[in-house]
Amino acid sequence: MSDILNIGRTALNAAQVGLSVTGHNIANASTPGYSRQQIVQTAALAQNFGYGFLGQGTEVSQVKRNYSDILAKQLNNAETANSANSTYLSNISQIDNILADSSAGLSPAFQQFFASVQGLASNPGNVANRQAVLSSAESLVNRFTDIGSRLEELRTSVNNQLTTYTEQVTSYASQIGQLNNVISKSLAVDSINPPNDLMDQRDLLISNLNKLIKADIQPQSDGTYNVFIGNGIPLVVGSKSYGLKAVNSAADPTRLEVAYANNITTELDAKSLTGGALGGLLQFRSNSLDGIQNQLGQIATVFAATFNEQHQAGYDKAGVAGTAFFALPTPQSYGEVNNSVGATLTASITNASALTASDYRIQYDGSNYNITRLNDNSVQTFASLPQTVDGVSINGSFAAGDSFLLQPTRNNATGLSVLINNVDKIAASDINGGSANNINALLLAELQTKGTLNNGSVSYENAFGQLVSSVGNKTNELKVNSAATKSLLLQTQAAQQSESGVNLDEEAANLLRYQQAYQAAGKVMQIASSLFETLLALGR
Amino acid sequence: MRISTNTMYQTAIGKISDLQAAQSRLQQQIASEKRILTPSDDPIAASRVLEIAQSKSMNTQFANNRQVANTHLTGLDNSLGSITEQLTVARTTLVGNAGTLSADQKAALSINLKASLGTLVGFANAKDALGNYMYAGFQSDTKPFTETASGATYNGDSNQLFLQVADQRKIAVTVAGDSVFKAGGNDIFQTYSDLTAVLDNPASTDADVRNAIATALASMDSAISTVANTRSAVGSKLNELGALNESGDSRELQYAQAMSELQDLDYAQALSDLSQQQIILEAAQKSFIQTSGLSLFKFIG
Repeated sequence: MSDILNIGRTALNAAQVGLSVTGHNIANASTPGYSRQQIVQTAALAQNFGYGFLGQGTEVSQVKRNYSDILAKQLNNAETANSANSTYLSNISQIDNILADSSAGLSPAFQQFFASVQGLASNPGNVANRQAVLSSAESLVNRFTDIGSRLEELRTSVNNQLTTYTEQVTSYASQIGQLNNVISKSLAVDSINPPNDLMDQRDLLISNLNKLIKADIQPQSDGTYNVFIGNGIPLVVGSKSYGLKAVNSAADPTRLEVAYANNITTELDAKSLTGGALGGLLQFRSNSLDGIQNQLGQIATVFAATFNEQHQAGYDKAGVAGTAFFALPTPQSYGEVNNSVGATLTASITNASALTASDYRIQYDGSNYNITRLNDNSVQTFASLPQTVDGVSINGSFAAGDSFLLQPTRNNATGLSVLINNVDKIAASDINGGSANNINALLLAELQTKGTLNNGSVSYENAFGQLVSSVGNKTNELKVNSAATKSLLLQTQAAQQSESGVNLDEEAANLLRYQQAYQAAGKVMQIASSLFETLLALGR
Repeated sequence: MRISTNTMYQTAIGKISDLQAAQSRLQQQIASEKRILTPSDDPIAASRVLEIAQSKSMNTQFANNRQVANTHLTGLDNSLGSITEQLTVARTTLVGNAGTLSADQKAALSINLKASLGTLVGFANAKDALGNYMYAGFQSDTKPFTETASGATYNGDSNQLFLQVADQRKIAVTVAGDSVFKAGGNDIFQTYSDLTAVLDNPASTDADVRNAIATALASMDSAISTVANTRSAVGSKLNELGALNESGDSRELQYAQAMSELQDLDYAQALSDLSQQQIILEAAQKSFIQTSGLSLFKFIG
């Protein structure tokens, strides 16, 4: 009889555990990263009474979480790819929007400017026509500086985002390390029953980490996860975690790069950091923003230089040779932080038409100067300076090992300004003079469609058109990719959720099931009790 | 397949927000009347639009230049007409005085010719509609002819003002004074003053006078033909401008059409898409409400 009571008790217990696990599932139905839990129930060991084995009731051997390593890994991969694409897309979309504004764009300003030069040619003696040239030159320069400064804002925003993301990665890494510690201690005590909710939390952190950067997970036998990023850089090893930091690049102090913060801080190669918002952001900067800003700067520089050249070939109202119309921006250069004291680089644009939209690295190895064009990594080697490469004259004093980064056009759109401020200084005529002399004005007007960029193959406006179309194409490509990775992510999420997610209807059914099991177990105990009563009654 | 409650909500919300995004995009397109909202919507068309906008703007500028050219050339045509008339009247007067002249007749002729010279110099110093001297070459703010005892000196230069009137076409819209009034060494002003000098000189014989008139007639004939040639060149340029205007207008139309094809929205299509999407969105919202209302918990008393 005590056996029956005991069997009833085990059933009651099991139903109770079942109810509380179901309740836990219901409570966490919308908890991010939660995996639904189930009880594993087995029949208790039977006892041989001579006439056969008699069951001893039931026991709950484990509370198990429904979790699949493979699905979780797929989900992490999908998260990291989607997050990289959507970050790249959201950043480049801003450029797409800047260029979209057809009324405020660069093209109408170019058209207005050259229309005013045509107006000058049709009546060069007229003050109003001359004034129009100066006003429209100002508004063209404003367009250049406006677009240029908006791109510069994006660059600043990339720096800020990098700082935030690296801080988040560091924080996730440290939380994963702490959970590794707790989980491994718990498993050391009871290796059969893992701490399900802690493991869910850690898996959620891994998933969040993957949204920031692609992280490889290596589960260890003690239940900890080792986490690696990039080319196998350890972020978490056991309970120890390392961090990332945004630091000023050694090559370009205006640029933040991601560095690995161990005992010493090491700048990481941006190309090795892929996936996640961080990877997408770095890709956006190096594959799109750098080039776009350089190209805009190139258009501004070539425009200013070629217009100046023609303007200086003419003569102003007083018969004086024309002066520079626009202030020509100068190339920017940065010395590597480890350069020798006194290392200098000077660069000036000598032939704007030969300019490219690339940056350059100039290194001196003690005997040769290696000048690398960074967009195609082509190297030119010289025994001495000065040298002219792609329209830029490069000079300086280097010690062996010194290195400089040269950006011939990066900030040139914002550096543009109009130098001529007196209508009489506009050089509309040739050397013969005369107030109706429009010879130079006609030549200035012809620059609008003349091939001036890329060694005379493209006009200013066509170069801008190419820029617009390449930004459009890249944005479009990312829209398509992003839609694809997003749909893959949704599918993977659905698959993972189908394994691990809570279905409330299912839990409702379980509630009923365990409720009935509880009632039935109670009934068993009641009968056992009434049997006992029967026995007691015998003695009365 | 097992579906988690989260997935059910996420799928429904994801779908509804996609539909809303598509709708807001359509609304933007309808409000801006443009198919292309950003270059990424159609990168090739977006850069074509820029190219065509440039061509269109240049075409408009050339049309403005042609208007200026037309003003110049029409003024020139009128002025050259008046000059021809003046020269023809003077010539007729000379022909009428071909015989032997009395002292009074010589004096009258001389006065007549001096007046004619004055008028002619006036024409040569005329200003155009913009206030520039027409016959001064590039020296358009300098009075081109100064009357002297021996005719008039030229203060301008031999340059002509060229205007870009079409993509590959520049035409001269002014005529330098020396090429009209002193063409090929035939200085019409000097012709006048040479003749009046002979007429005014009491020592001139009848033969001197006859010879001087004959010389002057030859010079005037030559001048009249120079002016006529110049005027006919002006006329043919005016014709050319007319033709260029026509082709410019047709280009303008062509550019506008191309731009519209590239970037304008197909309204009928857009509005029909909008109402279709509204129906789908409503259906998605309703089905979400209905399916999310299905819960076993409702039936557990």
